[in-house]
Amino acid sequence: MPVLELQNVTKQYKNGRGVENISFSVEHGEIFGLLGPNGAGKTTLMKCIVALSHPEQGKILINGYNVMEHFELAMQSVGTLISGVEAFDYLTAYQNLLLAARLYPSLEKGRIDEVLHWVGMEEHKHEKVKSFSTGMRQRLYLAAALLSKPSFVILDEPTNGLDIEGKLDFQELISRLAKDEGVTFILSTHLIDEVERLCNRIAILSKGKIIAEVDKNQLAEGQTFESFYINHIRKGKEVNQNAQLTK
Amino acid sequence: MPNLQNEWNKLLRKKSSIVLFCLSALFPLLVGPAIQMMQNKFGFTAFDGESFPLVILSLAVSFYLPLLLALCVSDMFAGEQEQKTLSFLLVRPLSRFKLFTSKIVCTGIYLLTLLMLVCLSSLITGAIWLENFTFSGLLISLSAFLLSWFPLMAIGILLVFLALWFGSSSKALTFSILLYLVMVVLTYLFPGIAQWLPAYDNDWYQRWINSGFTMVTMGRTIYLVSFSALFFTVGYYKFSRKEF
Repeated sequence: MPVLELQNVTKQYKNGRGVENISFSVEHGEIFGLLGPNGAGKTTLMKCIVALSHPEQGKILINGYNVMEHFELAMQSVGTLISGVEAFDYLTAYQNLLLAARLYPSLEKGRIDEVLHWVGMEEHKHEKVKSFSTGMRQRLYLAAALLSKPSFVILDEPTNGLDIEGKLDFQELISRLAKDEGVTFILSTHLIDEVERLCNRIAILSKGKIIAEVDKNQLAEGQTFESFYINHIRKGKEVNQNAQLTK
Repeated sequence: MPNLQNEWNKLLRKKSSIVLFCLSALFPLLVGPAIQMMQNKFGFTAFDGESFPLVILSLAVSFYLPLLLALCVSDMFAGEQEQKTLSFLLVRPLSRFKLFTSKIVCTGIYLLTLLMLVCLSSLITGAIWLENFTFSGLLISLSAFLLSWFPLMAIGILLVFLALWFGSSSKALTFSILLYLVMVVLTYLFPGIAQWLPAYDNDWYQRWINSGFTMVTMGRTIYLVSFSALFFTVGYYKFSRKEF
């Protein structure tokens, strides 16, 4: 059974943006990259997966549970970092994580300190979030995503605002969790080097549609995710230009 | 309900909540000596130790507590949506129903705490500064404050429903205050319509204290329960359909 399965998911906003007829699945132990230019619909899709947005059509299953019908069961072992979701800035980093920790009754006491240590935020745990930089906030959100010892983590633009050291720390942490603890990841980003280093399978999202999907093992010799991505994005542009010329 | 503890902790960590708790406790303590001074100066007794808490209650239920409720509710729903913090808990294994219910229950506890603070403070003021403070008066005052929770909570649930239509706490607060003022004015101008509005029950405690359990009080109780259930249901429906 796939950890995540999307079946014909469609979500359209009034301004015409959104995602259309998206289907893919993520298997256990994978680091799946969802790659696309800005405005391609990555965050919309991520918000649909965690039910912050409601798809008009289609089904989203996490560990076999339909997210719209059995949300609590589906999210039990899922960690999330969604772009645009903010922590309470009048609370400290520790207090914010405590709010989240209360929703996982089986969590042991020292877990908050452990995840704060992982993201290098233990020194700032008693500081209020309103004093944090974008990078520090991002580290806190990553800590919140990993708090529940999830078997599946959804990361939407996770390295936004992180400095180079922060990005490298993040990539090391993700690789370690995937390798040592078998955690499955779905990672949405527009940073190709991140995908290159971390992912073993990618899907390219452009203008709300999946235009290509490839496994690292399926790449031709000498081909990288980057060249695969560039080829497909260019092809997509050419098809659009030809369609406009025909009109 | 683990999220109830979350909501209560969030409320207590806000500076504004602490200030309002202090103001609620201080108000009767400041008014009491002032009344005593005026009564001594002009040589009459308008309020004594027994009636003072009820006078404070009538002021509190008419304007002060509905305003505080509107502040709390608009911040808890529209404010958290505006700051994008509502989603921080919505992406955890917590159903929208549980989140919504825990916020309403937290509002109820907040209201009860405010009522008890004002009650305690006005009882202390009445006992220290004003004459004729009796044990039966204390019991009546305590019952009056407890009884007032119910119609105020009905207003609170209506305010929650209204706050869900706004994406900013200031807009939700302004609209809630204006709507409440309209309801109060309508209560005086058109008593026929007024009975359908929750502001009609601002003197709820007086009806219970004066008449006790009658068909009228029973009818109003059923009406308020139905009113609360209706707005809880449509409020939850609106909340469950919201996109973040």
